[in-house]
Amino acid sequence: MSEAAIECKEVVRSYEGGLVQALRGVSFSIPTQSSAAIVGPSGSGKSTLLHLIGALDRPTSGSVSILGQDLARVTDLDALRGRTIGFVFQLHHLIPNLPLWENVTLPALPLGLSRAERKRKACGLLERVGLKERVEFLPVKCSGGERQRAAVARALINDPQLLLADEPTGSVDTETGRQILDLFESFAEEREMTRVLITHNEQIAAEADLTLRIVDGRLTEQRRKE
Amino acid sequence: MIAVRNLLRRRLRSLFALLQIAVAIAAFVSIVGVTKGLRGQFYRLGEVFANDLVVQAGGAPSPIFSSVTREEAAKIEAVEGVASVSLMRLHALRLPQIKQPVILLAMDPGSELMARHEVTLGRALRADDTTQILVGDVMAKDLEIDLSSLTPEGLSGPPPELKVTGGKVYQVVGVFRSPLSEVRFLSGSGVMNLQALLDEANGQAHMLFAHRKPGGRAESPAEVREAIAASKALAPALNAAVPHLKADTIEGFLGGFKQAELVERFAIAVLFLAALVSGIGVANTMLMSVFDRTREIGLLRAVGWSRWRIVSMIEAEGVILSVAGGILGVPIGLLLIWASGQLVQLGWLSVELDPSLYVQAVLASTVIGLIGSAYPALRASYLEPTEALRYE
Repeated sequence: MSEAAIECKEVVRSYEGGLVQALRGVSFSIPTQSSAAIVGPSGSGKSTLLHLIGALDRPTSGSVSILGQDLARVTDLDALRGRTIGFVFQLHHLIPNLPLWENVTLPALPLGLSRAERKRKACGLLERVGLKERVEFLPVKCSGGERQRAAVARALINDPQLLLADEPTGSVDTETGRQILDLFESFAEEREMTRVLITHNEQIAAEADLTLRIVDGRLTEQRRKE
Repeated sequence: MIAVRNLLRRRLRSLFALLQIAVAIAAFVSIVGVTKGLRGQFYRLGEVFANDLVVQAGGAPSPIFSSVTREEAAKIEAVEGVASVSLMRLHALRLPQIKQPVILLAMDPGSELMARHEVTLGRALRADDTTQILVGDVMAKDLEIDLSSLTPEGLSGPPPELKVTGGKVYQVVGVFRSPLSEVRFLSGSGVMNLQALLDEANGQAHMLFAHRKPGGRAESPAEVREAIAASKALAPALNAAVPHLKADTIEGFLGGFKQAELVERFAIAVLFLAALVSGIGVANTMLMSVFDRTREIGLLRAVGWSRWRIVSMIEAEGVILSVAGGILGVPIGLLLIWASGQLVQLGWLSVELDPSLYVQAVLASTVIGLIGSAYPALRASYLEPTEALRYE
């Protein structure tokens, strides 16, 4: 657990030519296979930070490294995201005209796996998240919790080393949220993944190995679990 | 297949775009088929008329605005290199059973031009015939003329009658096969004695054919070229013999057929407009689709789809839509041709529908799809995943 899976050094992200500063020199590191929670008020820069860690965006200055690779030097960020990072967003973002199993396989399409292989993997994951009977269902036929569980399965289809979640329980009730987090944790531990979670819930944050508090784009607290 | 399912999500919108392309392809198939057919017929005439010169009044845009007399024909016939001449006048008949006029080619019974019309039933025309006519096999069939009294040997009874609007009655004394069976419009017309018309038209024919070699027919493209070159060399002598007339080879005569040229240019303009409109339709449909799916595209980019993969997906949707429209457009085009056939002069609608035309139609629809969806595809590929995922 000593090697850093994610390392941010003096990360600044500004918009509108510097008029809006979302992140103002944030530095931290998250050890491999550990869990981290990012907390902070709305608009503090949590999602911006997660997008930078997830190679969805590039910092204005400073550096972001994941799994020992400086993202500024990576030429194909799409491939890096597809192979090493799994995302779970606040909204499930499932494609309405595709059955659950096809939604789950979307990140695997660029990898060139056969349809049968993709379906086998997707059905296995959907079974693990308790949706065995729903693999051929369209998202509209599923409940909010089921859709979010399918989104967790989608994040895992390529066996990522990093699992990033932006308030994954924000759109479901407390009990369903708890089930999703348990799933999230059990998969992460079983597959030895490093995971980062944005949450407003201090109780959930307290369960993480590391808590990062962001206020007005600044890292105001780094707390490691005892 | 994701592309097909995406198109089926907005069925009505996709259907309208598809119909737009189908109409453009229908226009393509019908216009190209008909203009190719018409041009093909004209240029096949070269095989029969390569050894002839067409003589009409200088500057006349078409033969009906020209006049040639028998005296002028005699001067042309006297030119060295001219073996014989055939005068001709065009005469339109209106029949109560069809809307379009029927053309009669009035010629002298003993002329070279008349000899090229092989009589297959009934008898040939005679010098004293007035209301007796021959009809082409296409005309006989399309007008459903009862030919039971016409035999290969002659007439076995009273000839069938053709009553024209206004009350005049013609007797059909024979059926001819055109000099070129592929050129349908020659068989869609009739033939009558020129003198019977000249008596009514102050002795003026519309045009004449100066024959260098009676019965001569060029059999190969090389022979056609050679014969036309020889005919062209003779033209100045004919022009000198009667200065206000102008002699031209069959190639020059057909090339100067302004109406045919205008129709072809107009057809190209219509096709271009149809392709442009359907391309804009595809672009509009795909752009709306991209706007609707902004968050989905953001998600796909977030989970590792490259820009190129997004471009391919949108382009595939555009091409599937267009090719489906193209495939639907082909039978609509054939239906248009059939409908046009009900409105035009007998035998004049000649269509060339070879398989390459269908391939061209599908290729054209593919190109429309590719070009029409290019901008929406690029726009989708340049969506930033972080912004696209927040899109409301």
